[in-house]
Amino acid sequence: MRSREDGGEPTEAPDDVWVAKAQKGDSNAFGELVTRHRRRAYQVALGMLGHHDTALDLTQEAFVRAYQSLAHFRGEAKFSTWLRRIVTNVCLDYLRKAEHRTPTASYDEALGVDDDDPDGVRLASTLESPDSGVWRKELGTAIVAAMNTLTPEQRAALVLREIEGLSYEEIAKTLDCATGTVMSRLHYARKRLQVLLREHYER
Amino acid sequence: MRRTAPSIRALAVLLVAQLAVTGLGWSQTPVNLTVQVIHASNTGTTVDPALAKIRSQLGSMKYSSYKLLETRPFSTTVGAKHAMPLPGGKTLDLYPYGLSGGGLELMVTITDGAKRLLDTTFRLANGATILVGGPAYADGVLIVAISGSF
Amino acid sequence: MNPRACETIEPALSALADRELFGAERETVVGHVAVCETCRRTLEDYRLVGAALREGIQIGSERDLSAITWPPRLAHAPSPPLTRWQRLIYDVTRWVDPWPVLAGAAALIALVVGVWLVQPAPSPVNMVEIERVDAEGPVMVIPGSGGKMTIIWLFDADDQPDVTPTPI
Repeated sequence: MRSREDGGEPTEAPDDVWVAKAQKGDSNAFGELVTRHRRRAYQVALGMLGHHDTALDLTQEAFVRAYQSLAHFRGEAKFSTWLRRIVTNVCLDYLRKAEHRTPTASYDEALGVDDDDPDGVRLASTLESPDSGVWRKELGTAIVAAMNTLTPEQRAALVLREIEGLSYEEIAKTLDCATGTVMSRLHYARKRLQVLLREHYER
Repeated sequence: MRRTAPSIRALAVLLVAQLAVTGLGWSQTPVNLTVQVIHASNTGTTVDPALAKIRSQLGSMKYSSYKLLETRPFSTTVGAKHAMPLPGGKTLDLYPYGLSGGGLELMVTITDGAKRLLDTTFRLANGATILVGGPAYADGVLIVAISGSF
Repeated sequence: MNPRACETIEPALSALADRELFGAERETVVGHVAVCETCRRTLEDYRLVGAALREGIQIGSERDLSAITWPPRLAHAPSPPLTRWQRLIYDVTRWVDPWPVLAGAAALIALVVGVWLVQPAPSPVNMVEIERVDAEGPVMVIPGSGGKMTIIWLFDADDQPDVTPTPI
């Protein structure tokens, strides 16, 4: 069967088929699921972390955890939904630990040049593509800095809404909280970003 | 830049709580709140033994007399609104409007007739206490201690 | 536009932008936005931030992701099934070198037990995070830490007390 990297629905065998094979110990079947879903999983991680290498590492980590927990996946939800929850939790765990290690980890790293990490590709730089104007470059850097001021939970809610396009109910299920909490987190996150990025709008 | 009038921001929080309760549905998480109403003054030297700790917290804002006027423990849920009369015709409103980061999000207002003496929102860790003091009462001031467990 | 109306509406704008507002609340907010330039600007701000974030992530994710693969290239990636304890050890050692942590934990336990044996348990730390304080008159916020309580002290606008509060 031909595989298709994610970004759209697979054209051939659905995820369920590959999940069932993987649950029976077929490692190649899980490899197919990784190939299909790694881009969307990575997008969530990049949105929450703002750093390419870390996002890459934690997406891989999420797949490891998914594989370890595959026996518990009963198919009540889609595999992609289940995986998204794992990715989000892996990133939340990392951010919470990072906060304890140093309050300026992850997103802060995206702000400047990190001499120790010349290969690191950062979210800020993704808004600096050759066809980008100065304004977009500035806004990209400013967004990264502003995102760093949000709590891990606010970042997660914002990414799940803006990148994944989830409803409040779906976000609540993913983050295991009330929909009212989702509403509150999104309100405070956007309000904060609006205040911090105001000068960029009012140019 | 658009500035927000402080007294109006309270309504914003109120709306969030209202929408959440009626439209989007807060979880009915049970919480226990305890409100202690204290009269502090410089008349006499009576200090209720139960208030010794609070007295020690007040730094140089010490008074010589502390009387516990009322202790009101009550169980409620996130999203429920509570109003409680305070001495001197004032009113204390409590809104536990959310749980986040391991803390209880509370909105507290103290009004005296049409005057809004205080309007604040804060996050209270489990078992923590916040003191609100200063409103004039009789020959001293009122101090309200609010603690929560959930 | 009456700023009070804007402040009342503002918290719901995010939900409106997300099409997560319904019924009477939605009608109220939509009706206000129709006549309020300020709130329309806020909605536009939210849209701009969302669009910029999506664009950044989209461009960022067009990079080569072949490093995310199966079986994982990570030398330390374990194969299932793991026992609960193996999983715990893996989670810990994934991020930190365990030996300094274990040594530190042992020292900490010894210290805590020692302190516990010679002293009564310390008071629990009070933690209150003030998000917003609006008051009619001057107000002082004294953050609590290390067992101290957080204090909000209200002063009469016309009658300042002669005491000088000092942070605890």
